[in-house]
Amino acid sequence: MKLKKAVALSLAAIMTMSLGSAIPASADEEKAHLIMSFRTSGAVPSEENIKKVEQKLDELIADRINAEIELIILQSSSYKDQMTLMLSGYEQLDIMGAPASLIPSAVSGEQLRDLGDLLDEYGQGIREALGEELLNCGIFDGTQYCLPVNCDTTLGLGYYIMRKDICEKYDIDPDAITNYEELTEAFQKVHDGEPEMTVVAPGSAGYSFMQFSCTWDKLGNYFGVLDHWGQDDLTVVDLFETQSYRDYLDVMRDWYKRGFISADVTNATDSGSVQIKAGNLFAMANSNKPGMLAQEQMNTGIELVGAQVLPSISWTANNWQWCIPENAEHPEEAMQFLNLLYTDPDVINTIVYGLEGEDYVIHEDGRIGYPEGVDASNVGYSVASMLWSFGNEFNAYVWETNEPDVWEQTIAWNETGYRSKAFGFVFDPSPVQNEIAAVQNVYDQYRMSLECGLVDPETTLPEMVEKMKAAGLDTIIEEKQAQLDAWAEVTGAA
Amino acid sequence: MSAKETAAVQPRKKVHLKKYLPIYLIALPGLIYLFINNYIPMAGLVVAFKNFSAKRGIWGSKWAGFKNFKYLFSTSDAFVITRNTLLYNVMFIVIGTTLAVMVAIFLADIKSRIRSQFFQSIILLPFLVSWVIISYLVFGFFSAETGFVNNTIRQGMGLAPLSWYNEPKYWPLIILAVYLWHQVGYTSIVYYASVVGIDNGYYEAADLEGATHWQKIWHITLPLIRPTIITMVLLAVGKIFYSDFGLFYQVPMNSGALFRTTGVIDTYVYKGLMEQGNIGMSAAAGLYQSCVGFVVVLLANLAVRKIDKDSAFF
Repeated sequence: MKLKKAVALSLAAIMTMSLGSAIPASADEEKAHLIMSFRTSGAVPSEENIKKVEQKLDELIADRINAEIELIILQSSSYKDQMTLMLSGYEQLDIMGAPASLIPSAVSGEQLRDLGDLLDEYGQGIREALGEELLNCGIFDGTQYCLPVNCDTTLGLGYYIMRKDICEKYDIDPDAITNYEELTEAFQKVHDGEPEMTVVAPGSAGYSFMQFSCTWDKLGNYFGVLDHWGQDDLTVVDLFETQSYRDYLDVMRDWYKRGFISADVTNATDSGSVQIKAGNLFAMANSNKPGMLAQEQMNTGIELVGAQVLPSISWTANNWQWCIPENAEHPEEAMQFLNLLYTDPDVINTIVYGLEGEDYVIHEDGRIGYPEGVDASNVGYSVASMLWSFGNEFNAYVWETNEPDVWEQTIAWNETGYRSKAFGFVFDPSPVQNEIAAVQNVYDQYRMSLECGLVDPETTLPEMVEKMKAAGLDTIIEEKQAQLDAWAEVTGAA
Repeated sequence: MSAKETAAVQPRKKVHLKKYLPIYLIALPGLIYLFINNYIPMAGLVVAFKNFSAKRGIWGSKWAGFKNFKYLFSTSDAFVITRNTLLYNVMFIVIGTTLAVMVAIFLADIKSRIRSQFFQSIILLPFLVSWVIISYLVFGFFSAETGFVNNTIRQGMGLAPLSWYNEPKYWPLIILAVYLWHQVGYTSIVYYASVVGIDNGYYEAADLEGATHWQKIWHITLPLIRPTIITMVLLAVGKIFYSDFGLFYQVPMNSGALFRTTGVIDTYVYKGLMEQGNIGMSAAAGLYQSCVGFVVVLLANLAVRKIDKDSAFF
């Protein structure tokens, strides 16, 4: 009996004590703790350098938002998987940068918050920075779940980045190359002269050349597209049965047969830039935009030139959007912070380039570069390769390898090329999820080997089309057409 | 009379409890672990029948009936992955067990302690290598441009190089070889333990009778380790609808062209979850695997009971 009393007493004592210590702690944490996630394709900064940037951000926003920021920075290769898992669980996440491929599943899983009211209340700056048309690209299923980013919206298709030294050696003038025939000719010269070298590879591992070889508007995924860069009308067709797709396959098959493409291309785990840097690749497929060469030169450390063989296009492929997940604990503060990210140059510069003096210095002409003794390999904090994804890149400093007027160039660039008639339309895949899973499975079996020329399209393509139809491709196309028609009715596009 | 009996029984019960209490206590952490890790999450299986929404939570999400299961069976994929999973596992059970038992008997025959331990370690080593590393070892063999097979073996025989990662028909053999290399050492440890545990008297008696080495294995060793083999096979049969994810995902390097012969239920579900983030579908596939696995164990146990009652689980 005595013992029990003693236990009860000591328990009570412990509880009071812990209660006492809890009160001042919570008083300290009046500030909303915001957790924000995004990716980088460079090295992930160390814990302590991220801390410094977080502190700087806290200072910057202190008089405007009652919040403190915690950054989660992940490698781009695993970002989507990590986010899928975070959203599936109940981990706190207040601001999430979302690659386009993540958004449909997050929307249909009701993992994102409706931003409409928050945007009205706290996001006036975002509205102004993006403009109504761009902002609409963040509407999924009739709801503003996402905020697109203001960057280069035009995609320079069929852009091939080549090593300058080899071009000079074989007397190749990249500016004179304007179509596949001329490009093939140039590649042949390199292949004959450097038989040991792989001539051309896709820009990103796990993707075929098609990523940037479209002559159609892919309308989100490739299942149901608008042919001819979306210039004809709003009739959704099956890409895999179009002549456009077949023409592309024939070019790739020809290249593979000539030995331009590595037989191991389907297993590549290194991106094109890494292979160029390693010295065994001559050219890689990529997209074009102002500053692209500078960016890749920074990545590879090798002088590069580029040739574009297809027209540019503007379509609704906003590759990156910002969201506030259901798991957010402070949605209001999150939107306030996003508003600053889109409008305040100090915020975007700090979050992208790190600390002035430590991670970058400002030159006289207003551009920035690394301080003395610092370079890409030892910089403390920099996610500059992802600058375009931070809301409004036009607010940020220009890196020294770019021309000072790169932002004006980009704005002018966005006016060039085809503009798809479906610009602004976003496909909601949730009604045909089963079909997409099944068709995607078929596609994955053929995608790499077919689109990199390893197999003969004459026999393999019909096989793939037949299996896709069996898996429900037509249902997806019908659904897409219905959604597109409904969208056209609302927006008045034709 | 009966009162006397109860009086006699009761203290014995107490003695039993007292005697075995420490053993129960030893088992307790394991039981708690089992309860927390294997029983409580079963409630989550309800997700398989729901349209899971993060906003509404597990219990608040709307019911979906069997819609999530449709995904598994809506295409011919279901047949391919089920067939692959089953055939690979049958192959692993039959060939893997035979080899492991063989290795165990060989190992037990090595009289020198140092040599015996040396070989045990060597055989076990692959089991400790991560699948990611193994996938690159395999790639070293089968890479189309730089691989050992294309550049040394096929070239030596005057054959043209093959694009291995785009040729599904060779992969069942490659997968089997990699599996055996990786797994046999580990499985053979269990058999080795029971072979070593056999009373030496049997063998001495057989020697006196003039039995050959082969006869000793066939008539003494194998019958005596039969219960172990049956137990191990039953356990494996229970997992016949599961597959080693690393083996089927990493080793073929997730090459889409190989799906026809390397796609199994686990990799299919993984891709479905990662591409679509659909928890309901994944839960449905998991539930399907467990249910079928459970039925298969019951059937296997039934069969064993018919043949040899003592070796059956229940």
